[in-house]
Amino acid sequence: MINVTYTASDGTVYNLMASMAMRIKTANFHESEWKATTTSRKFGVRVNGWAKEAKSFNMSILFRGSKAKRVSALNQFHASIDRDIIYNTPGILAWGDWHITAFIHSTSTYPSDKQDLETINDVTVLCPSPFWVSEQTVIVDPAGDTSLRPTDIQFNPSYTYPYSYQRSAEYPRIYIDHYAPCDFRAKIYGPVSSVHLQIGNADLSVSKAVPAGAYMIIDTREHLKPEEHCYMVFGSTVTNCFNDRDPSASLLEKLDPGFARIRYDRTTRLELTIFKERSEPEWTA
Amino acid sequence: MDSLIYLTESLMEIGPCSSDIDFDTGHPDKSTNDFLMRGVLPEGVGGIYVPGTEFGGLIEYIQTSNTSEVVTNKGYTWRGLLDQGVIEPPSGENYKIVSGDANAVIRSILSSFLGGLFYVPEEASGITITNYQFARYCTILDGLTDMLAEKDAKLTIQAVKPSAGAPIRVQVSAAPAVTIGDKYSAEYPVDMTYTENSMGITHLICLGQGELKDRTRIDLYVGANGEITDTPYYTGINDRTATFDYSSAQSESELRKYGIRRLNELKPGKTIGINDAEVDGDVGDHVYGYMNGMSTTVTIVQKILTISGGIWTYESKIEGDT
Repeated sequence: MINVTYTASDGTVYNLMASMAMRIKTANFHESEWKATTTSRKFGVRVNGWAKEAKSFNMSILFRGSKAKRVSALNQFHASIDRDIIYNTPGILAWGDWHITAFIHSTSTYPSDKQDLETINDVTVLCPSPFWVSEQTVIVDPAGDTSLRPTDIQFNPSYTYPYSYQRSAEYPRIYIDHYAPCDFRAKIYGPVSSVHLQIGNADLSVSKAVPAGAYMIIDTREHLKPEEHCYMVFGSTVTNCFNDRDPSASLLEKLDPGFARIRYDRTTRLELTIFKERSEPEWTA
Repeated sequence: MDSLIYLTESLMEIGPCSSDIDFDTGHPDKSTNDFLMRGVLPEGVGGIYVPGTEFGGLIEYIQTSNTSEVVTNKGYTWRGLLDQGVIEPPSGENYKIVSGDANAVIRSILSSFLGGLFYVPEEASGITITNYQFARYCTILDGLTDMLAEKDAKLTIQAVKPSAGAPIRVQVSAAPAVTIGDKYSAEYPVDMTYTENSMGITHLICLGQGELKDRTRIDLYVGANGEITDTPYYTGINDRTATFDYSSAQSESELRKYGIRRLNELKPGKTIGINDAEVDGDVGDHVYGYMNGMSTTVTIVQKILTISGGIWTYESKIEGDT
């Protein structure tokens, strides 16, 4: 059975497939539509590109149990989704390994006509970004251990990279199992005098020292604020480092799917999270 | 990958911008050379740019209202800022006259302009300017554009990040104009229009300094092949005359120069229009088109970049379009 949850922005997790208390009655997560942007031609149109609107769908949730339990569950759930709207901070709807940011902005609650122990709550969900996301995390640490499966790691001793690496003989390779370029977040721990990191063809070099106890984040995701794409955290101090990028490093390019070598000196820990996006969550057998 | 990046007032990068924006840049007579962006600016933003291009500038106009949530931000493009300065004749001289490699000339003009915002590369452009006389008190953009057009060259502007941690640099230089040929023809899937226009002016009376009968007068004519001459070619029903009033012309040569430019705009002729959106190239480059057995070369005078909803659309305007 696929696990389906809604995590409100206050952190409360609602299990929407709990066999008793709360369970989805009907919902269709597997519907999507691309819209073409076109130029009219003598015959038909020329397709210039494709876009997607925000995703919206209906979901019917069944609340079960004693009246007191249902009232309590409904009140808590509605307080959470109301809070998301009031603060304009979306919750996260998860379907198995895939999740999407969502606002539940319309609800209608009424008793089930079948049993006295059931209450039905019909809701409408708005997903500002119309893509479902699955995360793949890779850790490269100074001890040489990685979270990569053995088959993912390959070595290329002959490669010469224009930086002086202590362990230049070992560059792990990851496999990005997707059909489209992926956003990612890299977390580089200090101490390093300067960040020299390349993943596949993406140059992520930032000429900024990261002291011991600090870390730098490089994040390509579009919905972030301008200052959240490259910054350093040291205690309670957050410093925007975007201007310290090397001119050749865009810091905003997605990673191509397939094999990608991580060229990094591995003197400190690196955590890499890859965000795979799909129009619909992936089916599992 | 193209990206739009916020800048501080000191031209340091802050991070990417996802707002909708319209840039309009090009020939000073054809473009507004500014940009318009809607949305609330993050703290500390003073400018915006697309690395490696001339699309960018300083945000110098912010409009908010208590009746609407829309915030309007505007500014001149880098090219537009060149229109905010004047080339003055040296003290005691009537005109500023320059000679040398075009980049050296541009460097001398821009050396003290806007606190050194613009950078001109040390490399020679290979375009030699000889005794070029700027119009009196013309804008820097007008002056440099006209100077280079006479050499079939263009003004290239590019904002680049020279090194990590440094402010961006707005690089201005001269380059030969390029003709993009063989691409725009009936065989190429591009929308084209062919125009045979006989409604133009064939005789221009240019009037300069002076009063009444003493005004300086130059008569210019359109020749058999569309060239501008001093001798009438079109007569009878085809003799169409207009006047060009330029009383501030400081000399006969200046009156002639601007009269020729005006008559070239007014004269009859055959033209090919090419769907602007399809045209590649920079402002000042030429586009070669072929249609109905006729070929023509037109100049790109305007480039527009529109970013809306994350979709980037580039558009070019060519000479003669309205």
